[in-house]
Amino acid sequence: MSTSNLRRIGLPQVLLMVAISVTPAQSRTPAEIERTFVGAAAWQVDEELGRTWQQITGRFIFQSSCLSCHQPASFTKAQWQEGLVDFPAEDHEPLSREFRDLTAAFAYGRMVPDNASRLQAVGAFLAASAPADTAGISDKAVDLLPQVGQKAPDFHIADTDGVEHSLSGYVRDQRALILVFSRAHW
Amino acid sequence: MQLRDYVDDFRAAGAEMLALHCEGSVEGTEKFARRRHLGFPLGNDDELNVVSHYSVTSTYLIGPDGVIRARWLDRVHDRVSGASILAALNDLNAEGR
Repeated sequence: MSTSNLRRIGLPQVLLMVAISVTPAQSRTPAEIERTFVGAAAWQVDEELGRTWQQITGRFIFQSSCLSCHQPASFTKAQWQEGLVDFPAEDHEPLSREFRDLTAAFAYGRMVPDNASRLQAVGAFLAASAPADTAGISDKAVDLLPQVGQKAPDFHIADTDGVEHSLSGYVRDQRALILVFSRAHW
Repeated sequence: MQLRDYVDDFRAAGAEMLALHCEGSVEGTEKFARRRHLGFPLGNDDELNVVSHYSVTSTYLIGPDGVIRARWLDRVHDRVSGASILAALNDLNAEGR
């Protein structure tokens, strides 16, 4: 499912629902919030949120592209505006000119124990993260995955025999590398 | 034919294959590797340390210089074939000659 289907399945309504339950700004700054979820896979920690996120976007919570078609799936200006249309203007703190991915909101929400306060937390995060001025921000989706012709991101990982693998190791050995990512059953 | 059937061809063409499981337990991946006698290294990346910089259900051909030479954004049940990867690898080698 691509983001173009979001409207059809009612994401704005979901957002709106979340938005309505928003309370005034949380005491934590977005930078503090971000530090708590960076690198974490929320869908592994909170299955319910992970599943919801996947249903809505067709992608894993940590991903910046659609799981099945690999198309970039970040939220666009129009989607933000549609979702946040009823937000009181004073709640839009100009914290960032970037559009934050909902991943952040959901990751924040997963730290909250019960559903009601989780919704509230997600809503608050969205309110705090919404850019005050959306002019000049492109609605165009961007392919955020590593591109052909780019340096591949380095990595270090051990295989099932305990052997360490790193991209720099393959480069040092002058070997090309076929790097295959799969889900568990393949 | 599966990717594993091409491992020797890949190696002869100067490339190693590394596969990473991006979900499921470390134990599951170890069991899988033991059962299948894969012939290529398999790792578990359920903490997403590597895949978060790339993408799930995908295949990347990275040259000996560390530059991405080909990228296949596969669907779960429709992975790129070993023949296609080998063709891209041969193209890469031909370029380098």
